[in-house]
Amino acid sequence: MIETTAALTVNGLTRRFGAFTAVDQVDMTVSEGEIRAVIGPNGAGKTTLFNLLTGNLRATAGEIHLGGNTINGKRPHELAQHGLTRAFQTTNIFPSMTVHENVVTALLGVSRRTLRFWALAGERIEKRADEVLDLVGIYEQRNRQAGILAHGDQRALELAIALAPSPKILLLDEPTAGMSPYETQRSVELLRKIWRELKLTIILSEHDMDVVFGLAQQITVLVSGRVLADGAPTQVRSNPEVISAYLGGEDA
Amino acid sequence: MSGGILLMQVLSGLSLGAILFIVASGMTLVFGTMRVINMTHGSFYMLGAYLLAITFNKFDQHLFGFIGAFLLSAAAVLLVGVVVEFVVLRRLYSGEHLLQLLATWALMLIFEQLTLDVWGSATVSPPTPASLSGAVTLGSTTIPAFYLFLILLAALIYFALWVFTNRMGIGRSLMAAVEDHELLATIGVNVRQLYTVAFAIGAFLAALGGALIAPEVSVGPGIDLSILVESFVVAVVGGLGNVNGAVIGAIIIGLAQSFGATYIPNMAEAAIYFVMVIVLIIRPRGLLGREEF
Repeated sequence: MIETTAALTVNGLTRRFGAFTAVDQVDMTVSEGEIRAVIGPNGAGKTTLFNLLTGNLRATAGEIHLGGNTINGKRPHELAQHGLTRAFQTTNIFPSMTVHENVVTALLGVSRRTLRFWALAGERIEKRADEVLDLVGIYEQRNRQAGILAHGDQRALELAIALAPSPKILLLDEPTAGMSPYETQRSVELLRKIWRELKLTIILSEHDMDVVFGLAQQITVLVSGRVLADGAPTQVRSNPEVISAYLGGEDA
Repeated sequence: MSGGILLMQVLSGLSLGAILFIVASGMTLVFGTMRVINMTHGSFYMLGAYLLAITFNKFDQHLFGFIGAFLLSAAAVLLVGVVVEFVVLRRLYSGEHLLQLLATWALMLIFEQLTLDVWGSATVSPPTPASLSGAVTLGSTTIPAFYLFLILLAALIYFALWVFTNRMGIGRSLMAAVEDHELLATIGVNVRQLYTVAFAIGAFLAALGGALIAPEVSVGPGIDLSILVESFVVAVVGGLGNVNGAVIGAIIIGLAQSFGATYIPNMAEAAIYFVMVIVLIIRPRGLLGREEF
C-alpha cells in the first residue's frame, strides 16, 4: 500500500460545554491533497469540530496535529501562519473595501507585514491578489465595493480571502449554505477546479448530499459528537448504521 | 458685529474644536476597532494634563522644549493605557458590552481618586509655552498664537491618522478590524495585539489633548468627566467610529461652544447638547455614521 502523508490528524478530540459533550473522542486522519467531508445531522458537532480545528475553541481533551506540529491551544491567527485557513458558514468579507483590497488585506495579514511599520502592498502582493481573484472568477469585479456584490460573488470573494495566503489546508463550513441550486452547482465546479489547480487539502462540512458525494473522496459521519463512520463515499453510503441514523432520514 | 470679533470667535471655536478632535478621535478609534465605549478616556486626558504640569517645568526653558513636555506626558499615559488594556480589558472582550462599560467606569473612579490623592483638590495651571505666548495680528484682530498652534497641530494629527489608517499595514488592519475582527484573525492577524495598539493610541491622543489644553484651563478634579461627555458628543455627532466624522463633529461643537458662550451665556453649557439633539434627529447615526453591514 502506498504511504500517504497525513495533512491533519486528530486524536481523541473532545469538547464539553458544561455537562454537554459536543465533540466526543473524535479520531480523524486527513491525507494530503484529499477532500474530506464531515457530515451529520444538525447538532452533530460539525461546527464545534471546525471551531476546534481553527483554534476558535479550545479542546477539553485530545490532540490536533497539523503536518508534524501539535496545534492544540494555538489561536486562529497562528494557525493561519501555519497554513490552515477557513471560510465561514456566514459570508465574512470586509464590505466597505474593494474586492481587490479584501484580498490584499488577507495577504498582508498572513505575511505578518501588518505589524510592520510601513507595509504598503508591494507589486508582488498586488499581483498575487489578482491571480487569486482570477482563480475564483471575480477578477472583473476587482474594483467594486465588496458589500454590493451579489451573494454568490461574495462567497467567491470569501473563498479568495481564504486562498490568498496559499494555505495547505482549507476548511469550508457549509460552503453552499443559502445558495440556489444553480449557485450550488457553480461553487461545486469552482471548488473542484481550485482543488485540482492548487492541490490543497480541503475539509468541508455540508448538508447538501449531492455536494458531498460530488466532491468528497473521504467522508466522516458525526452523530451526537461521535464518529459513526469514516471512509470512502461508497462505503459510507452502504453502511447500515449510517443509513438508519442519518441518510435514511433524508428525503433521498 | 465687526469682522474682527467674528474672526476671533471662529478661531477660538476652532481651537476648542482642535482639542476636542484630538481627544474624540482617540475615543472613536477605540470604539470603531474594539467596540468598547471607553469611560477611562477622560481619565487619560486628565492624567495628560496633570503630567504636563510636571514635565513643563523641566522642559519649557528650551525653545520647543514644550513639545517634548507634551509628548512625554502623552507617552507616559500611553503606557498606562497599555497596562489597562492588558490587565483589565483583555479579559472582557468575549463578555457583554456592559461589562466593559462598568470596568472602564470603575477605572475612571479609581484614577479620579488617585489624582485627588496625588495632586489634591486645588487646581494647577501651567503657563502657556513661552515661545507660543505671543499674539499674531491678522488685519485688525490679534489672535493668541497658541490658538493657531492648536489648530495646526490638530490638522497635523489628522494627517498622521490618515497616513496611519490608509498607508500603513497596521492601520489597514485596524480598519479591517472595524469590519470583521473574526475574519481578520483567520487570515493571520494577531487581533489581540492589534487591540492593544488601538487602545494605546486612543490613550495617547486623549492625554495629548489634556496636555495641550492644560495651559489654557485650570487643571483640577472633574475635568475627566466633562471631557468624556464632550468628546462623546463630538464622536456621536460625527458618527461613532469614524475619524473624519470626529473632525466635523469637533468643528461644529467647538464653534457651538465659542458662539454659545458669547450669545447665550446662560445656556452655553447646553448649546452642544442642542446641536447633538438636532443632528441625531436628522441623522441618527451621526453625520458620517454608516449603517452597520
